[in-house]
Amino acid sequence: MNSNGNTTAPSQGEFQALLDATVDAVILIDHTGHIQSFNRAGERLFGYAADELIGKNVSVLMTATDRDSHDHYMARYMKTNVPHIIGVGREVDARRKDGTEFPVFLSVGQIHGANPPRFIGLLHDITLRREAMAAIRRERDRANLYLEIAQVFLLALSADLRVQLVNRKGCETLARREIDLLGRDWLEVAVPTAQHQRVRRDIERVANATADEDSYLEHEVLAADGQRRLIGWRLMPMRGADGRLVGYFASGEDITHRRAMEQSMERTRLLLNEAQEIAKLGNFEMFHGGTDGAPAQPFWSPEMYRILGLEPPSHPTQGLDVAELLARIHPEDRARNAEVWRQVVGQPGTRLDEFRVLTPAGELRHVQINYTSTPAQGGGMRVVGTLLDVSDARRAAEDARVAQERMTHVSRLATMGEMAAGIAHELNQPLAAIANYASAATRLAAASPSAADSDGDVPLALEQIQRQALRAGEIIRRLRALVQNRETRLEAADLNELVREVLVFTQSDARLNDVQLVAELADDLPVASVDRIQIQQILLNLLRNSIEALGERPRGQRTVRIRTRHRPGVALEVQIEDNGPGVPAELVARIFDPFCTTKETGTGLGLAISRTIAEAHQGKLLYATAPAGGARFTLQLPCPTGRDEE
Amino acid sequence: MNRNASVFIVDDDDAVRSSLRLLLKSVGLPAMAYASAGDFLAAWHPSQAGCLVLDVRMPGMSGIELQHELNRRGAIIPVIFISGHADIPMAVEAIQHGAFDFLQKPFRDQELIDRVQRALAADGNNRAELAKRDAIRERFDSLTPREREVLTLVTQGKANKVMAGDLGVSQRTVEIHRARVMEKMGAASLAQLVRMVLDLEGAHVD
Repeated sequence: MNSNGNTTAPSQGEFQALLDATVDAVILIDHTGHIQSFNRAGERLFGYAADELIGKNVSVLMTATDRDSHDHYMARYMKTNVPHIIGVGREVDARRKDGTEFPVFLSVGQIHGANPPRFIGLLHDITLRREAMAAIRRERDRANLYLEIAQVFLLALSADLRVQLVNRKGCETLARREIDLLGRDWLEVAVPTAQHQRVRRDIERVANATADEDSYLEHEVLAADGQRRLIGWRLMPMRGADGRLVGYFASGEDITHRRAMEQSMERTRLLLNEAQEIAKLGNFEMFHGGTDGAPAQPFWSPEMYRILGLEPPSHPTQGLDVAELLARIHPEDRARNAEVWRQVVGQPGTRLDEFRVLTPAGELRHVQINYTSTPAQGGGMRVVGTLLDVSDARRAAEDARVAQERMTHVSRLATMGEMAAGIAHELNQPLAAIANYASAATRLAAASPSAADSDGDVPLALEQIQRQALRAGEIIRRLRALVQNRETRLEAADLNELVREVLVFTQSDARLNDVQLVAELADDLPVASVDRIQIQQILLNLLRNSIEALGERPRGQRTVRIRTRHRPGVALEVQIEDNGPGVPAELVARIFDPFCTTKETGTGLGLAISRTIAEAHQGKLLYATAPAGGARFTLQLPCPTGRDEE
Repeated sequence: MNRNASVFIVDDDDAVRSSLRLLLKSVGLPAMAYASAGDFLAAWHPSQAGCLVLDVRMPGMSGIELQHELNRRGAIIPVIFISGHADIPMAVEAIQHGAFDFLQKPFRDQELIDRVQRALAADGNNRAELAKRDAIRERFDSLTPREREVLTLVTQGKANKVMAGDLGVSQRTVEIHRARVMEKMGAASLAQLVRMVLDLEGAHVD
């Protein structure tokens, strides 16, 4: 090989050593492309022995596509002397002896001084590099894909807040193309004007923040189509090697829907809380037993705390356990409630209890509790339920009961007054006569004292007769003061309805006395023509009598039955029957007489008045001993006459 | 009190009627009792002094109706109502129609006796007044027309000379008429004569 210039040309042996040492294939060809030399690396690379190639056209090492163009390149170069490949190199595909192909980087040089010219080719196997490149490209494509398909809004901003990068999600959110965003001022292009100042401040804060938690900010973005979305951002300042801020990288999440949900849930929670407060109804979830894992946290609604007179905790779902509930219960009711709780956790089901609560402020409240227990996962019981403050209802019911009693009392007195008015004249006549006779006798006796009356008892007795007669007259006068000029007013009425109303009045009385009221109402009753108030007065009177009479029976065995019945052509009946002692046989004949009573505090007028009312309705009030031995009163009213009323 | 005065009792209740009579008798008051308004009207005469104890409510003619009948007849007998069934409107009506008093049965004996005695006293006074007025009227009726003219002028306070001029007679004639008037009317003075004339006129007003 010839040398060029002043440098010492390498010896032939040195050159051959160089050729043998190089890992690239080195091929020497003449101007017609015939191989003149082929080094050892070439033999390894192509699988040929050098002898097999010397004198062959170099195209044997090329793929079919390169083969034709090679001759063409050579011819062109020989003709124009303009090199295309020499000193530049190119990637081409080479072909081994076994026909397999592989990529090589081909460098070509011309050996100057030779005529005709010769060329030297170096072929470097780039299979590994190709593969590495392909892997990198795949890697990059995948990263890009991730960026694109990420469901977060990815954004890179310059230090002056110009958009450097935005992913597909970001473009979609803003309804803009990437190209329309890149390089633009982020605030101008995406943030509602009203929020510019705040966003700028937030970004500054993040830029200067040291702790990770300070990297969060949120603001709305304004899309090209006018839609606003609320985005929660994680913003990361990016700094150069010198620590100077070069920009920001941000990942944003569309929290519009989540925020709306949160607000809706918060509103629901507040409304529920308010509803509970209005209804004075709390609810709870508590757990009992169960050994698996940590015990579940109990829940008490805020109203639950308020009913018990406790301050609701700030954490909305926090609850206390049943011991805290028991501690609030009135000491007298505590044992019973504890027993109910034992039943609740002993067996699944629903149980009710009523008890009093003594609040820390000393207020007494009446509450109703409903426990519903179900077996919990992991053993034990899960108990859910409600706590209802019935203090107001209790008070109202008590007030109503007192008012009702007062009214009944007044109405009873008024009826007595009416009756008294009727009999006043009849009674006053004999009373006047008695008084007159007595005073006449007093005077006569004084004029001629009797020898037999040495103690003077006769004038005294006569004076007493007069005084007592006057007293009787005074009683009647007082009764008459209660007179109400009320006439019987008949109107169409459903007897069952009258009975039900009276039962409502009587319910509290019955409960107090542990009397069970049983209504057996016929469903085929025709409409009756009655004075509702008067008939109800009879029923009320009879029911009260029965309830009082049942005081002699043990609790739990006191029953009053009230029946309605239609006996066509005979009567409409209301029957009130108790299982008390009944009316003593010697009194049965007189029970409807005025002033006949078995009760210490009775007036003895109730039944008399009731019978009077029944008769005013062309009806009857009858007594019979019930089959079981109690009292049975039957009010019979005439059947309606008109067929159309049926 | 007039010794002939009686208490009249009208009540349909036998016991009330008889006990009232006994009560009044025990204090020395004579009483006559009737079972109905009709019986009473048949037996009673307006000139009989006394008072009436009357039950309000009776079968047939009621006490109130009897009172109206008595008023219609110009009776002056005081009426004490008694009632076993009194109410205020009824009592007011009775009083407005001139009832002397109203009592509710049964009553304290003294209440009735006091009222009866006051009623009898009132009746006595009324009757005395009426008797006096009747006497004056009788004397007045005995005057001649000329004497009545003189009486009228005298009570008007006119002097004899003026009267003579008015009547066209001598002063002497006037003096004679005047003396006759004083004598016939039984008046001791001019003042007494004037009071008699006023009583008479009051009667006319009644």
